[in-house]
Amino acid sequence: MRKLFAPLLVAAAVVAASSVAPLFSSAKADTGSTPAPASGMVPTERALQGTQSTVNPAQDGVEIDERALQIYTHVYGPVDQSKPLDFAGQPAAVPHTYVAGKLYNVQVLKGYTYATLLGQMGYYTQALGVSCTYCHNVSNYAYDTPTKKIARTMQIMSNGVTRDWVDPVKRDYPNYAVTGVVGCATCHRGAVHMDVKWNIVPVQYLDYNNKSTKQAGYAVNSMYSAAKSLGVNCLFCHNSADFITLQYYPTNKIAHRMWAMVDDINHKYLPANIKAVTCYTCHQGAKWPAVLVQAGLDQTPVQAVAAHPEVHENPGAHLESGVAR
Amino acid sequence: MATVIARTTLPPIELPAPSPLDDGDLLGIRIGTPIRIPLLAKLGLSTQTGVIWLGTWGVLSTFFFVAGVGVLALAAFQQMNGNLLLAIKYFANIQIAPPEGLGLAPSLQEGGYWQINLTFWALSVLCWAGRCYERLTRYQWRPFLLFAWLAAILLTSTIWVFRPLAMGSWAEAPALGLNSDLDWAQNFSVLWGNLYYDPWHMLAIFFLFGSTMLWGMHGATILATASEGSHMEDAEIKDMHSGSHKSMLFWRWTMGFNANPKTIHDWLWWFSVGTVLSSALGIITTGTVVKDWYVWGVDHGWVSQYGEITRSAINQSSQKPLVGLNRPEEPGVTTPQGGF
Repeated sequence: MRKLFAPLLVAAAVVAASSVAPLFSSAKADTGSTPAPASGMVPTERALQGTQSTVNPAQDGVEIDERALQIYTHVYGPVDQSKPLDFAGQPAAVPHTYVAGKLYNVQVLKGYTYATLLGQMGYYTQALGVSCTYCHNVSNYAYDTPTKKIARTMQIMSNGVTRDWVDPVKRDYPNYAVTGVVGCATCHRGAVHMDVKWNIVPVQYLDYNNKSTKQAGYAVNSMYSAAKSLGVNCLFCHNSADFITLQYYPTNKIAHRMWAMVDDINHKYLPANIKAVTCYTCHQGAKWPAVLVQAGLDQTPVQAVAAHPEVHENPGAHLESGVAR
Repeated sequence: MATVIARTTLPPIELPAPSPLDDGDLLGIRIGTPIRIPLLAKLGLSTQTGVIWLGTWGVLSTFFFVAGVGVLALAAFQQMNGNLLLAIKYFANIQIAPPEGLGLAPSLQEGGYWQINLTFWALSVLCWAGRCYERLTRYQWRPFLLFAWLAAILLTSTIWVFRPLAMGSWAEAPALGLNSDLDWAQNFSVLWGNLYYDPWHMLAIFFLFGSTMLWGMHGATILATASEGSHMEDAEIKDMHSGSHKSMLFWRWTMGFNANPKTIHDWLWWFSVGTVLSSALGIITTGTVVKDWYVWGVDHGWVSQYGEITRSAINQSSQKPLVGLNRPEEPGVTTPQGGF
């Protein structure tokens, strides 16, 4: 009978050891910086808990229509041209009698003349593969439709992404300068619907301090997503001697900014229930997004190129050669 | 000349032709009736299967093992919503994950299954160790089988129990599953600064590769001299010019040193056990004593340095620099250049 009790004693020892284990736990036990995730949620949703969408109307020049964000999931397609116009909920600038050749209700593209605005609209149709009727009621082009509101939000977004994320990278990393800004075609590439591939975790998961091996796995999986999206391998941004400590390559630092940019886009410009933007949305398999556009009013598509291509092939070349940045 | 002398003066002893059916009850101590599988004879293997000696520890160990596998299958099946086809399709991707923090898991799905399975695993392997001990004491053998089994238990329990306890979270342990084990190895190395710079890992690799080399030499030698009866080791081990004797002569002629039929197994046993013991040391020190093995290597002169690139690269890191032994970084500290 004593033989039968011995395994139970072993089990009791295991339980007792787990009860006194916090005495031996190191600083790793301090999980105060990571709130306990709610049950039944995927990691992405856990990390987004309590995060509020931050919109800065003064910076963007025009307030993002929250209702435009909401209709992503409800209305998605060409405007119903047979639907009678209802001016009740329309801005005051929308004329009840539309006259072609004049500009009404222009909220974002304010610097445009009528001719350049037409060119911009033509770019929209090419970038998305649609015609005017996708966003406009052709009897009154100033009339705000659901898809037009989305398009306005998207234009605010591309301006904001260029101002907040692309331009700082150009300024801080001249060797990696790209000759262009973000346009519609950067992501859409001639289609309304885009592929959503290679999901990534929120940027705060990249902070490895006070993370367990299990939590680090979420970030590592996202690293493969980022590599697939850019068509590169780990060594494009990392020194393989130590992936975490040796994050000194410029590509690594740019990647951190881009990761934060993805979070910014998903929170600020997309509805709360859609977190569709990943690295793949813009990169689509290329190190540098293949379709950027010229800055300013000229929306001619250009290919992003590097000022110094050799740095692209070996991101740490300028460091290892001893040339100070 | 030497071969002529050996062949002419002392011919090999006469041994019966090897037969797979000759593995009967030579000593007359067997209990029960074994099962014969004649198909195995075509492969040159022994045809006898069984008899298995049952004992208290063996029965308990088997019970816990089956219970653990049952819980694992239940958890995997539940993860696939009871869909057998999905469970087969995603067999490699299914993982039973540990809970965050210490203590009991909040629910079965969030680590409860993992803890139950780990408990069954611990009970099963420890009962099997008890079975080893009981057999050894009954035969009055030396305890090498038991120690080897305990060494294996030590490594696995270091990964799954001791290090998570020391780190303060069960989430440090691997999830149960095929891909999750591989993922854990990758994440573990990345998170704690490249395990290849862990000297205990280096030593474990030395022992592991040494084990494969020794096992290859030993196996090849015995198979090669089976033409001279070396598989009848128990009968001929003390005879001159037997297969075993010629095996020893062969290695002395080849590399100037030979192991006899006992000491070759000393080599093999110590290399095998040394692999798991040094692995366990490398695991338990990672994250508890040393936070980053690469930085540890830099601080201790193990890492080749290319000019000042290594230290400056650490200082340029966008992350908070991790310093070996968890010391706060001091601005005046300089790393010796040039490695060792």
